[in-house]
Amino acid sequence: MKQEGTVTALQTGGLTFLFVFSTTLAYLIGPLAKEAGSDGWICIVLGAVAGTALAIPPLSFALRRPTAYLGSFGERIVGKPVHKCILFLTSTFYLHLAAYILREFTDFFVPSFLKETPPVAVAILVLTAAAFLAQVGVSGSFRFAQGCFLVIGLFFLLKPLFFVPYLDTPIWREFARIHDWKTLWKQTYGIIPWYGELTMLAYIAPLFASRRKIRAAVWIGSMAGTYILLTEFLLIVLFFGPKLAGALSYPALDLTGFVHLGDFLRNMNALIVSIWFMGYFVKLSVVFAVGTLLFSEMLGVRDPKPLTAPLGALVVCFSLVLARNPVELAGYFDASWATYALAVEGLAYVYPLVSWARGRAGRRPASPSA
Amino acid sequence: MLILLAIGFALIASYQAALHRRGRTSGRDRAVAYVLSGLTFVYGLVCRFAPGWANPFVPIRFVFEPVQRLIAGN
Repeated sequence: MKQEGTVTALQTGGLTFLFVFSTTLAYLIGPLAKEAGSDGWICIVLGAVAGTALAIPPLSFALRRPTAYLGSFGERIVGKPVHKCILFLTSTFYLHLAAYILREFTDFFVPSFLKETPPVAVAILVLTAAAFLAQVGVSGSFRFAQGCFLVIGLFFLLKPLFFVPYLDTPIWREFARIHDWKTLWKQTYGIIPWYGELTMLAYIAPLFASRRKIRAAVWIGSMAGTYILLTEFLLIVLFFGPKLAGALSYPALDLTGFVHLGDFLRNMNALIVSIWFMGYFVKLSVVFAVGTLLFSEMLGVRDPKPLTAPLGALVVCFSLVLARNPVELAGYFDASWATYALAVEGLAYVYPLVSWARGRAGRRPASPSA
Repeated sequence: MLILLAIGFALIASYQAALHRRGRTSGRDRAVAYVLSGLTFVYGLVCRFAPGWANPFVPIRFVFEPVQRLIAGN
């Protein structure tokens, strides 16, 4: 493959940064503020650390074999049937995740900016672009991330400055204590798999050029993205208060309605959503590309390019039938997604565990009677 | 809607044919790609006529909701 070993640590950090906060910013903060209120920031910190830590061991294991994909050499570790099952479950998880992200986007974007446009048209257009990017290979998404993460990151770093006058509020005191331990656990449990999705990096380990720096890049990117998410969460709760923030469908979008540059720019919604969309697109394209790669490895197809179009169509179909409305979608998500995601993300641990167990069995000294 | 679905998959098949010609893929890979397109078309039809049966969340919820209730106390 031409693209092997071309993804730098900077690109990995940039992609991780965008991956972590692009969708959570838009879709996680509202429900989190509703359920956890001012405890939400602790859920974000705990979920970020635990979720990123969950993604690192399989990545470290995969990096030991710099020339082969886990999707190829995993067969020799766990046996063909188990390996194919893992690839099938993991690839369908990432394709399902791509469909879920796409559906969230159409539910948000169509009523806000493209009224009376059929959601299917928006879904096809967005996913066509992601499918073409997937044809370049997974490294294409990393290069795209490198091109835009500084612009997006800088913008979201500057955003809190617009709200400095509003930050003098007694709500700050509420952040200093924990109100409900049960809610804290429940919400943290829900956030861990959002970060745990980074286990996909283990399946594309040969793409990384500098293996020593990759783990540090993932941690730095993840924590930088968490900083943006945390800042946005605190701004929203401080500005709207926990109750109103929880009642709004897209509080981050409503918050941007208050950002203006004097009389020069009264409403920056369109600009901010355009900038955010780049980050969202990076996540969608990398998730779809990894899903396609794993699916082609599962089928034993050498070149995943011809599979991108039918799998793109599958993702569009998925996104249309996931739920009848956003409320039903949120219901499905809250009821079972976290456990399902953690179960599939945990499948990446089968390879290092089996390898470790076989290594121990191999090192065991022969018994005297033998 | 059915006509749109058929046109969409005709486009996908012709695009795949172009990719196969350009990439000189093996016969097996071609067969796998076309079978996948066919299955996706069938899935598209199921989505059109019985969306309840095509929703992947239904089996996921059936399996994982009790576990999540146990762990997170939903």
